[in-house]
Amino acid sequence: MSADATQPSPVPYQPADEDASRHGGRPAQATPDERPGAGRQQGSGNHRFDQTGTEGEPAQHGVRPAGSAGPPPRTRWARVTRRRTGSELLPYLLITPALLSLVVVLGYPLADMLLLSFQDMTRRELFSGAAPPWAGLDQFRTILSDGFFWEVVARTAAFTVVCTTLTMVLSLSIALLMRRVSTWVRLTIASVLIAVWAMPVMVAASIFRWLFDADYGVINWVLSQLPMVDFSKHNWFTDPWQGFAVIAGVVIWGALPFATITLHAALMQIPQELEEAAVIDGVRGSQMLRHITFPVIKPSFVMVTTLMSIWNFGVFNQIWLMRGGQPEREYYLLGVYSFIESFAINRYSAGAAIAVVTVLLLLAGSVVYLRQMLRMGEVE
Amino acid sequence: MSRKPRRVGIRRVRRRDNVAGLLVAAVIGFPVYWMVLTAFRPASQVLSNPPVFWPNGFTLDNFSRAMGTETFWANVRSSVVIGLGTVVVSLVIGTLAAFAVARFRFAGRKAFVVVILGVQMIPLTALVIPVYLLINDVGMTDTLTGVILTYLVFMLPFTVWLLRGFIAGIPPELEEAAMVDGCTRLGAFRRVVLPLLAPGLVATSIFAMIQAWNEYVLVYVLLSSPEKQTLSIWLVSFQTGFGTDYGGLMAGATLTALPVVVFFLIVQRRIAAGLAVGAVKG
Amino acid sequence: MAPKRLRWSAYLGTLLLVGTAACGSSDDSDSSSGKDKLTVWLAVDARESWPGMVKSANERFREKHPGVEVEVQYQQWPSKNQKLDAVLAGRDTPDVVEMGNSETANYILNGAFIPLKAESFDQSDTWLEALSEACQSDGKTYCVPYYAGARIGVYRTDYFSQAGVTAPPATYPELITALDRLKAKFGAKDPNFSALYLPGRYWSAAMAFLKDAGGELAVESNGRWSSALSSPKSIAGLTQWKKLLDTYYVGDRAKDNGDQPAVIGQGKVGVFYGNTWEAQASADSRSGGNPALKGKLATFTFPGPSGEPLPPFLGGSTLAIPAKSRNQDLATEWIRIFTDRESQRQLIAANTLPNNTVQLKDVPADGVNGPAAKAAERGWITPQAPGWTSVEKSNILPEMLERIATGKDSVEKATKEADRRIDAVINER
Repeated sequence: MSADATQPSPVPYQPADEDASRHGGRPAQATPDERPGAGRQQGSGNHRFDQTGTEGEPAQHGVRPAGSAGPPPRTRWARVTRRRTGSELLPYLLITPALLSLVVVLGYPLADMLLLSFQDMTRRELFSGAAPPWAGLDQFRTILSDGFFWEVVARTAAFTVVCTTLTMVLSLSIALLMRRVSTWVRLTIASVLIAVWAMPVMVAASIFRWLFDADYGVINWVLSQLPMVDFSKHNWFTDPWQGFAVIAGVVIWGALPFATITLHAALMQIPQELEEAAVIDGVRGSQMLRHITFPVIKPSFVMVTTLMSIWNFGVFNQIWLMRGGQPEREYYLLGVYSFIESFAINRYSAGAAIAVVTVLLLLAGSVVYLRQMLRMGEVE
Repeated sequence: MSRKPRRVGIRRVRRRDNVAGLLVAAVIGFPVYWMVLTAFRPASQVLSNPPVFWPNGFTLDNFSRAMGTETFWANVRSSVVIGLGTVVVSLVIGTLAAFAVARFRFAGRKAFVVVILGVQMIPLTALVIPVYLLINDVGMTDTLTGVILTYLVFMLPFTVWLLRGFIAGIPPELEEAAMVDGCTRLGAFRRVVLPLLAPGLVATSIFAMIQAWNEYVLVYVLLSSPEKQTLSIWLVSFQTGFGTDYGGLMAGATLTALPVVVFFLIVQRRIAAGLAVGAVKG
Repeated sequence: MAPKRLRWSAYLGTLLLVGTAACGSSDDSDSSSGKDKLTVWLAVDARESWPGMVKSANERFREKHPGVEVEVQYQQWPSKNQKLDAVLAGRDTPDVVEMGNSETANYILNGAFIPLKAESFDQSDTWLEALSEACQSDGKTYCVPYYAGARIGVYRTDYFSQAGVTAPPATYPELITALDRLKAKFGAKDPNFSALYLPGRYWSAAMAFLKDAGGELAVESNGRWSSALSSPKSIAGLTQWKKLLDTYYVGDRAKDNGDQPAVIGQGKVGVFYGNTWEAQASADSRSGGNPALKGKLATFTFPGPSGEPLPPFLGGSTLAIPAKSRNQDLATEWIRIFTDRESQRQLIAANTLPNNTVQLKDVPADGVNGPAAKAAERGWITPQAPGWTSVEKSNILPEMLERIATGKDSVEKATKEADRRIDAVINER
């Protein structure tokens, strides 16, 4: 781990030297389970996100802006350069199968979708294989000038922010809690999370639909047991706010396993001694979280947040299934809207255009994230 | 984690935390509990109002009805083949790419990473028809290979993403040391990197497995023969036009989720094994 | 063959590493490339309700055409057309597909199916108009009626006798009396008891009242369709429906009848409006019903407020041959056998309405399906407008009804909004 030790750490917390030497020499175990400290806090300016692949900045090794502050990176960089001269083609060979399958299997459909959004495809062309008439930017013009579309966009954005925030807060809390409980409790929580994860979304949605059913739902019954409350025959989906609360609940519930397990794995990077020392030094819980815990898990946290945002922005299954395949217009989010345009109204091109706009919005939204990646690359 | 609490105060705090932890597990796990409970309930009890929260009456009818479906075992086989095929192929291809991204600096690396991230943003539903047409053009509709191939590309970005992190966590010095000792690069990879990567591969495989196991939109469109359909499609058949067979659906869902949980349990041991190896090296 | 092939698929998947190209050529699927295989898409109803008829029709087909393998693939109603769209755009289409009679128009207009010689099919001159109309376009026939379903009243015989109602209601006032008695007898004790099960989004029930009042869903003039839900007659019909719902239905108004068997299985319903087979579903745990109800459900022709039987939406299915099918002649032959009078006879035996008026008379009048056969005479179908599938798929009617049923909007306001939305898509291909 000489590489790690030779560089100053730009991260907020820099452990004592003895700490670094104690942990620094240990090969990183990438495991979602507990693992002795490794990674950044060991005085490594070098990134060793050995955790469950939870790093947020894929570009970090490749991006090294010229103006990078700090001493020139010696060891690893030198190593990489050396390798490069040794076998220049090797990395390309290694990514070829992945790239090839992506290009072949995804490239064509993607191009197809893009093309479709500039055409006016109806079922006639779809069935006969004839080329659909060119529509230029018509589809986009129609969509973008439609007030309802922007309503859906705003709704989708709000849904994404709420779900992602809640997912992250809850999963971080549970992950922190998992660190403090006895082993058997931790295993119980982990098993429950895995069971939740293993449940197909179709089944999860029908269970939740059932639990929230107006006529024989368990939730209404339980709430009605509270004094002064009568929820019998209450329909949760009549009011879209309530309906979305339920749907958000299902989405968050379904996302918890992945987020919690990943964050829990990231938390394992923090040496127990460090926290104990901090406690003895009288560091309060909130300070500890801010100054010690969070910096360590930040890469994982950023990555999970990003993935959650992407997934929540495109959410389809939960809404579709919770509304029994017939979502009301109040329940349209971009994913559902695109699907309905394509397959219900047979405006395949409009559906494709909505999908394209969705991707563009997501890309625009992740510019911040890409910047963050670059910044992290800088401090490497 | 399992350090002995040193003070009584800590012990009390731990007990409070344990209670909180169990509470969290209970809340999150309730739908799972409800699923299993319903699976074992006789039909007349399933929708009882007021609801009953503990087992009352026990039957295996739901399971026998679910497993008695003509194509059940064929669908199990199909799910297993698709699940394992996807996991194995995406792990192999993904590891190679992840290794390149984690260990080398090459022109186009950044672009590759952006592609990997960007692929996850594409709404799957918008691609159903184009993907079908492609698979159809190469004559692979209604073949499991076609499904594996399709799943592969949707799984691959995430696999590369995860594995890259794992590989970045393995000190390159170890490989170098092995190469100095006379190993070829491949040998070094196999003997040094791979064992250390095992837990990462396992974690990634869980994710890929769950995705492949539960997906149902693409597989429904791509496969037409009843005996080739996967379990997730089989599950949909419990929702008929005239209503849902909750008992059968929950029994089916329990059966479907079971292998994933078992897979996880098996794999958990592997993770522990990986840990042990790491400890020795350290 | 199957297991081996499955294993091979996995190996081939692994071979992808070597090159994706290797895969495409080597994995020769058993897709419909040969002349000796016929792929038929039927909806799941056939598997659930008349599997015997499918089997015997296939056997008769095999006798005539030995060596031709028939593979029946069952599709779920809600997801079927999405798959069909994708498949019709590709090369390997099924040879026969079942289409709901409200789904056909758009596909026919867009050239998805081949025209057929109607006269070459058994009893084609007496096909039910509601079904054959769905198959016509420009004077040609593009599909073959398969079966029909007419909604009727279903009641709990035990509840009726407990409430002192001796005979099934024959007129609308009798129906109201019976419902009042049920409500007084059971509704007082149980706040969850609905004398009449009429959930808000159950559109084919609501539209029957609209039709009964002389209203229309949509009207055509000069080749252009326009929605007519807010016409005075339509509004009158929907107002009647709302009144009935307000008085006798206590369940969730924002639901459709999707979980009808479960609700009826719980014993919370006195009368419901549905297809004959839904009565059976309510006593079958496979659809969420309760087996204890076997023998406690009977049917009657549902009287409408106008004095006539409530005109039922004639649901039903047709069979069509995709233009890209490679076995069109064999497919035609298969449909011929599958819809001939022998097959129809077996359908009747499975409590389903036949595709023609002649055999409609064979439906035993005192049997469970007798009332349905009677109601079918007043049956109607959805407008044969090019964009009607879109109207159905985008759930305009259920949403409108939900807004009315829950009181969010008045009948006038909700129907105006629905008219606006329907007009936007009804003429679109």
